[in-house]
Amino acid sequence: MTFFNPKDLALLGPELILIGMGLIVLLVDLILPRERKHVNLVLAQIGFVAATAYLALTWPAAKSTAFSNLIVVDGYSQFVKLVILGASILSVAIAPRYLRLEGIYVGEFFELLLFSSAGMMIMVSGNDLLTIYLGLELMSLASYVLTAFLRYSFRSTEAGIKYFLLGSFSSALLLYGISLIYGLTGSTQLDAMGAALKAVSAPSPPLVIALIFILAGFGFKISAVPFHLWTPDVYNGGPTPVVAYMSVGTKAAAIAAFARLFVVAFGVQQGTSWASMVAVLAVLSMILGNTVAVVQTNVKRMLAYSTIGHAGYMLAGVIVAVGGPPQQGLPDGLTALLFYLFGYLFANIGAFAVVIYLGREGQHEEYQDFSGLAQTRPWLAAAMMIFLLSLTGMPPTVGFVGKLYIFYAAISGGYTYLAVIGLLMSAVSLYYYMGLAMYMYMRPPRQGEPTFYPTASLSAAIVLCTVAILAFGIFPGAVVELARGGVLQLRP
Amino acid sequence: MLLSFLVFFPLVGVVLIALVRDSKAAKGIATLISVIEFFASLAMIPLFDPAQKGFQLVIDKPWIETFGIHYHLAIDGLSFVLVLLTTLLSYIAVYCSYTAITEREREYYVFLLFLETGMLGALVSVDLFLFYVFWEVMLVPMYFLIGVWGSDNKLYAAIKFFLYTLFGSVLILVGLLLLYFHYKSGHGGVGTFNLTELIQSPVPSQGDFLFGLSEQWWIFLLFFVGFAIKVPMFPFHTWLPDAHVEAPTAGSVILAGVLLKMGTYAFIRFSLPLLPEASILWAPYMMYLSLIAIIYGALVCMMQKDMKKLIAYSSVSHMGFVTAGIFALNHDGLAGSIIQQLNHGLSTGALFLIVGLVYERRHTKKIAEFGGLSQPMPTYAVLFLIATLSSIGMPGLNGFIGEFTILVGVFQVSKTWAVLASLGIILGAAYMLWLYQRVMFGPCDKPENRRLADLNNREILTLVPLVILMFWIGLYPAPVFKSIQQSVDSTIETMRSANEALYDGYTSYQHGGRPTAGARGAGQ
Repeated sequence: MTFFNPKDLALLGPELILIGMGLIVLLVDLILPRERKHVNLVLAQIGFVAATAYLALTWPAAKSTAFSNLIVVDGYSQFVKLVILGASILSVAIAPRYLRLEGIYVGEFFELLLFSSAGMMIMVSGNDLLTIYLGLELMSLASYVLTAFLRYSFRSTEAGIKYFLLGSFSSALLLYGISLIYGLTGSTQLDAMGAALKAVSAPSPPLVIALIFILAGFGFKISAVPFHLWTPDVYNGGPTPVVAYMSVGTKAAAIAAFARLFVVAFGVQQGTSWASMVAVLAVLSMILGNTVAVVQTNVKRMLAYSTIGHAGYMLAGVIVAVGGPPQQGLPDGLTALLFYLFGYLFANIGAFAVVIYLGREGQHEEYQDFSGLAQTRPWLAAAMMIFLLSLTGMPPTVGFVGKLYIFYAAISGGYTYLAVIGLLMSAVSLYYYMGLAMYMYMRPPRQGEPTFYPTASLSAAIVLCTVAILAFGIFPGAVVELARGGVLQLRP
Repeated sequence: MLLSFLVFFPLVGVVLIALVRDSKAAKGIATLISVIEFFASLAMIPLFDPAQKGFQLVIDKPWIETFGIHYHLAIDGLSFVLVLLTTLLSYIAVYCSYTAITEREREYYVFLLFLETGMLGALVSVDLFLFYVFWEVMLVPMYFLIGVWGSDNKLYAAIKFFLYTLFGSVLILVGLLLLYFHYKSGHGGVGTFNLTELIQSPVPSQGDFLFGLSEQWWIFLLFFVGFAIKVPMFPFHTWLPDAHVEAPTAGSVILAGVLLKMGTYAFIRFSLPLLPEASILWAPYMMYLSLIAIIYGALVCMMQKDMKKLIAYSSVSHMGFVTAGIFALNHDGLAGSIIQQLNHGLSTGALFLIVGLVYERRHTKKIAEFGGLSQPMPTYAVLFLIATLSSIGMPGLNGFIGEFTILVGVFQVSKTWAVLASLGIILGAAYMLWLYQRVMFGPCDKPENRRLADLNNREILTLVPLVILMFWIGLYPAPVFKSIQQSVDSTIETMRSANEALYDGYTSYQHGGRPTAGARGAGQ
């Protein structure tokens, strides 16, 4: 086996496009005059779209590995990358209004976004704990800076520092877990780890500790309870487009990488007992995220807690993949996870896009800002309503199909209690999502409302999200097949 | 094709209203669409063959193939009569709102039309998943109708309505998935939500599924909570008075006339045929709850000071009759309960319209504010009287037919229960006539009441179709009985074979513990 094969580079095409475009933005930004900074945005968007096109054109028919098994490319990784790129494209589209308002319309913003997405995608394709760690750090370092991007805002810098300190701590835990695993199995390569663990008859205490550390590291990025404490502050303080981006991208990348690690390395042996460890996180996330969201008065904080709840639903998919029946659990659980991520992408970024639409200098984002929106801006209110219904999981939206798939997988995998808790928590989530709808539809508009000037790209993103939610909610078949095909390629 | 048209045509109206700027045009479009809907549903009458067994006018196309979900619409006698009721009441709901709704009219009609799509879809879906989708689609517009156009305490009532019903629906979803997986495991991993096929592979009614009880028992419980909240059965009824009191008139009409029927419809359509053994085991408890609802609802009515709240509680009592009829599990009870669903839609719908008419004039619903209204409003007095008599089950009007048939059914199960249920009729006469007396008779001593205008032509026209139907069903109910005959027969047939399987043909709930030789009661 040669160490380097030029063909390997082709497999990493989308990542290379993003990194290359990041470097171009960095250089171009130097020569651009101050009033022409929007060229950066166009360049970044070209990079993301090109990467997406590359991804779509080279959709894999089977699993292939590169760089001495460090990287794996299969339908599963490519589907998650599609979600990540979707989140990037939409976030870039909704950003300009906010960036102009806050006076941070600079090239570094887009460059960091490109690097961060590249990190996420490497993470998803990682077939070795070290590759995954590499991707995770590239993603994280860029997003720490992005969180603190409002340099003059006290809350943004606080959020950045908080995210950075806790994030470094969790990365350290993850590294420690990786080193323990290496000590126990003699490898950091996922398949080799799986083969070594297969020989172990029962989980030994060091192995359990190693998994706990790894869980902590990923749980932090996924914002699963009890590793969620940073989430509300970072969502509240961070720039809104960045929060929108992270809420989908970071979560998707971390949970997808974790699922691969969990399925390939741990799932082959003692699947159910491993799964029950994760089930604790899933149940706590669903309950805490959804109940605490009820008492929020700030929209971004509410969305932060609701993403914690959504993390719980996503984890349920991973649990079924590992703990469910051997032949069925894996495709059911992970297909459910992938479809859920896909639906969550449009609904969550759409909701943040509306927050940006209504945003004013000084960052309010309180529920009151939505008062009477149905009378002043009926179409915007209708779009927001659709996003909220999709997040709640009401038909005929894509969020409904996603939740249904998760519950379907949970029940068929023998985790009925996860489905029941999840369903009851959906009913709870209705209360706070509809609380916002109540402000939009049932309260009078506020006096002296300023006129909003959305950018064309912001409106386009909102329309796109709305159409996607309804279209894929009514006709989910094709996406389900795509996700399922990808998951079947993953099977170890 | 006709059913697809019926279900989705209101959405055409939604799009048209979204395109116009003028609220007058919105009214016109909504009226036109709902009239066309009504006539389109009348077109079912020649196409529907009451003698045919099973479902008719079937449309069946694969929808989400991964889960075996089909776009599968069809009607039988039960849904046929309820679809007609729905399209009529939807039209009346639009027509009665012309002057009652004065702000944000375009949105109002959009939500009404959305609601019509949801209701009709739920009634004609034969795929359980599709049914669930429409069942949920009904919730959102109703939430807005109450929350935006309601009266003082509307926000509380709206969210209470939404939370209660959503809580019920998630339990229904769990039940649906359990049914689905049972079928799937028995058919080599191929699942379906098709009602007919699911009925043919029944869920085990014996054995230990959870805590020593069978799978059927549990699914029935899940369905029961979901459907009972919608009906609403005691003790899940507390959302109903709030929702009714706060809702605008049209909202109350639709809520009482159609949405409540969804619960009882679902009991007949899904719980009985899919879970026959569990239905028999649960039936006595269902009956107790129904009897409590009948008597408790009626007693609470006596105490009400608000007209709308009184009629809301009378709905609890009347719906108690419907559920009592269903869980008598015999031919008379079931047929009576279907008729009573229609009757309740007509008479309670009319009563809510009647309250709405004086509310529009006086902006109060307090009984004490009125008195002697028959002097300034004679036409109103006549129509109010007919609706009152229909509601209390006066022979010659529709209510009598329904309640009488139900009592015959309940009597075959237990004489005591029949006596208790008939107590509800007596109490019903008491509270309704007392209401009528306090509002319409006596001295008209309040000056603002003396100036009240009698009904105008539009207002009379909203009530007249309901009054005609009240007389028609009261005097000549045969066409309705004939339409629902096959549905009732096949359901009772399922119940009878389940009964034999369960009790080995000897003792059963239905026959008070006596041997079933000659199987009286079922399928006369």
